[in-house]
Amino acid sequence: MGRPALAGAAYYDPALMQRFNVTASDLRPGCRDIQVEGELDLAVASQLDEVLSAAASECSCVLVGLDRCAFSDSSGIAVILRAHNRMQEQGRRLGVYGPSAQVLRVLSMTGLTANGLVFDSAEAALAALDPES
Amino acid sequence: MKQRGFQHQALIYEGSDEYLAGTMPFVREALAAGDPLLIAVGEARAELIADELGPDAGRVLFVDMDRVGGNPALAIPLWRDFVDDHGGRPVRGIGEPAWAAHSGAALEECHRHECLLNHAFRASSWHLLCAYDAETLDDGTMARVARSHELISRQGRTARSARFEPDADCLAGELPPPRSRPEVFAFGLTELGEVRRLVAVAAERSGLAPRAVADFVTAASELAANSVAHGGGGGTLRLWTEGDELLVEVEDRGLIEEPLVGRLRPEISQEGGRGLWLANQLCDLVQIRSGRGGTTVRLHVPARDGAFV
Repeated sequence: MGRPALAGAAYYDPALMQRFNVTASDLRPGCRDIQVEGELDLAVASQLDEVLSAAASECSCVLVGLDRCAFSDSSGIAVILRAHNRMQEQGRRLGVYGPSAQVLRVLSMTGLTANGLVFDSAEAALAALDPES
Repeated sequence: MKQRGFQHQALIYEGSDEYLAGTMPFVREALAAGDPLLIAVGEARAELIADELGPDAGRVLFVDMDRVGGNPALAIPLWRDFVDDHGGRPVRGIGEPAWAAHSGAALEECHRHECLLNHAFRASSWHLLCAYDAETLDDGTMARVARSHELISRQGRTARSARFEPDADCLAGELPPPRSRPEVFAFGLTELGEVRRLVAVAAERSGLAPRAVADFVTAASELAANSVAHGGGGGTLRLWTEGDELLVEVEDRGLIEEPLVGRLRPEISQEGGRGLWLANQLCDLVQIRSGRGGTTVRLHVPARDGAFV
């Protein structure tokens, strides 16, 4: 995570917008960090859904890094919630971390912050969610 | 007073004395009966009632509508939480729906909000008193109050409204055409990013602060995504200014069947249905019209003074 994050930067700056990309890496077996980059909307939400669905069935702890996600609409939030709800049924944990100002507003207005799913950093999310951290 | 179902009562008043004369008996009845009472009005009105109540003010719940915001669509979730918090017990409320309405469009949405209350709380046991200031509101607004309320009180007399329409279609009708030539953009799934860019550029040009730009962009993006998902795969975006407001609307071929769309707090367990909820949280005014001819949703945002040339 040496790259500059968007957190705290402009709420919505067209100049900062970038193509959507999602990557996943295992922090340790059973704990996966999924990095979302660019603009997350209905057009690309299925790409995140695919990666999250796999993680939800394979891992006990999933982190979704949003510090390079410049924008999210509610379909992006819906995909994250679907994975969260599926994992929760099985006693597994999902959290998101590092949202930009715009993404944080969407997360709070859809109830995710109040439900303790949103963390400032990967470290904070790990400490709260990963039983082995 | 024994309550059956939802009682929707309007209080028409002129001046502070009539306001207090109309509200205080209602407040005292609630306190005497032990009914939970929520007063959701602007700060000035709340202070009038609190001063009159003295130490009893602590037995009443106040919500400062100056802080909740002027979008009338925010009121139903607030009342919903209050009614649900008391699990079926009779409760009472005092509101002032048109308190912040400063335009014809806002007053129109206040009226639709009042009609939606009848729909939303049909099965709830509570009594809501909606205060209307006859000194500042026009005759058309007063006539609509008689359509949305079952009971009307004025100068100490309460009567059933002969014009009450409990089953009004709150999404029917058409919005007035734009008063200036709009920027028009047809979009589908792959143009959602372009929709956001267009709205962001217009919002910045209108002098909106960075957070207001992002809010407006986010809300508009939700409308466009709804058109893609539910409105036939895409729609038409229009963007224009009227007076000191920036407006954006999205029109599509879809039909909205839930009249309370955008006013039902999303559950963490539900997967969709957050788009219009978000738009209402992010904008001062959201107008939804839907019928067989399609759906149009229009957002209003105040532009910074003098931003338009």
